[in-house]
Amino acid sequence: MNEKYTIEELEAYLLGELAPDRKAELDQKIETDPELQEELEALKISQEAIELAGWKSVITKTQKEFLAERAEDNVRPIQSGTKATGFWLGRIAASLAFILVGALTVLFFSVSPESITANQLDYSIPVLRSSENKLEEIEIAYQSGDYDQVLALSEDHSTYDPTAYFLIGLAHLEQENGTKAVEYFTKIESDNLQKSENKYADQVDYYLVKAYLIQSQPDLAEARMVKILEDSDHTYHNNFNRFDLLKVKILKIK
Amino acid sequence: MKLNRNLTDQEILEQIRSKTNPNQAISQLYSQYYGMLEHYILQNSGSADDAADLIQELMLVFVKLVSEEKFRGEASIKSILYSISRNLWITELRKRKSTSARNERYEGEKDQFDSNISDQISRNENLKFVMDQFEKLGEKCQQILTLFYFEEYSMKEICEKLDFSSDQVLRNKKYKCLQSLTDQVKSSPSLLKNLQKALRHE
Repeated sequence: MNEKYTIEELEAYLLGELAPDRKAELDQKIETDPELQEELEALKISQEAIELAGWKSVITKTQKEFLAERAEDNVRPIQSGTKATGFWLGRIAASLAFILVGALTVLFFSVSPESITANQLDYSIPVLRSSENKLEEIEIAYQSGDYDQVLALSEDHSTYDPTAYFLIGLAHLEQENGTKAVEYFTKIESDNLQKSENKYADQVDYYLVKAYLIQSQPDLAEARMVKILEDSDHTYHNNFNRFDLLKVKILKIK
Repeated sequence: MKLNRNLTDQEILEQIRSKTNPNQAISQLYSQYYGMLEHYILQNSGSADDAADLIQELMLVFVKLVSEEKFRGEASIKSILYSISRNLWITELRKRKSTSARNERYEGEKDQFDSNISDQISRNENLKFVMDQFEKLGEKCQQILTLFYFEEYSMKEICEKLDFSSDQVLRNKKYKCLQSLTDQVKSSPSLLKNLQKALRHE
């Protein structure tokens, strides 16, 4: 180690953090002192190697995981066909049955509430209202995707309003809170019933499917889905199909 | 509902440069390009083990090119990885003294390689010695130096993370560790000379 400069000072020099007078002195010394030059180069190289060793550790770990995963995927023994020929129709039928069972098995294990609602439409507010205080704030917050703000505003929103309740329900849904979403959506339904109105009725059906699935209540989700599928005039009639219904039925069994 | 989409080339480069999420970027490079790179080695007299070793080295060359901004996405990541793998594999075949016919075939191709890639490969080759020395330091030294120089933690954060009694104690330990590594570098004059040459070239 050189006598006049500590490794700490040399590092500060490389980082441009040395006091100006000390830096000027060192600049001058570097020009004429090969030992100091060597010291500085060794420091730069060491820092570079330490950083590269960090990358090496990330890369080694990733490669190990990647190869292990790949090996696992590849361990699928292929049976050689040594059986006698004949009964082709039977074999084809058996293959089809096998594929069907396989497909159902895959479906059985892969189906999840998310797989049913993954493509569900986001609700867009048709026209932004221009008046009304808190409701307007809720609409603005919802439209900008600030669901936390929607929920914060909902705490002050004691008076019932179907639009506000619907948006608050959706905000809970976005935050995967099925229980609260159901609470707000079903309040709209009961209010509709009392007043013989039909506000957000179709929307409530549609989003309740997801809310019930989040709550692990596939039977209730199924009832809503059946209602939507059986009513050709329902706004969301084409947004679900029989395959979605099958998935919900599988969830009921699981 | 989180989207589980692939990163774009530019996002991968940014994550490597800023080290914000290096694991994600490297994982994606493996899942997207490992097969292609392995295929290249297998098609050119290499084995699956050769490919695994080479790809690891290749990734180190790639991250250095990206972090030093010698590669900023001028070409696709796929093509730069392919160029590095060809360059590395030729070097490896030469080391193994393969048949002259095979070497001749690659010689013609090598002229077209980007000089940045060749420079980085030889620089990494020289740095390997220092990395080996680093890996021989005590575990605490390795931890401190990695957290500071790779993870870019502050001294205060390292002090808390590694339970040092004071900032000064940690500082002393860090410089002691670093000094021991620089002493190793200086003990190999040929290495220092090679790397100094490369640094001047920059």
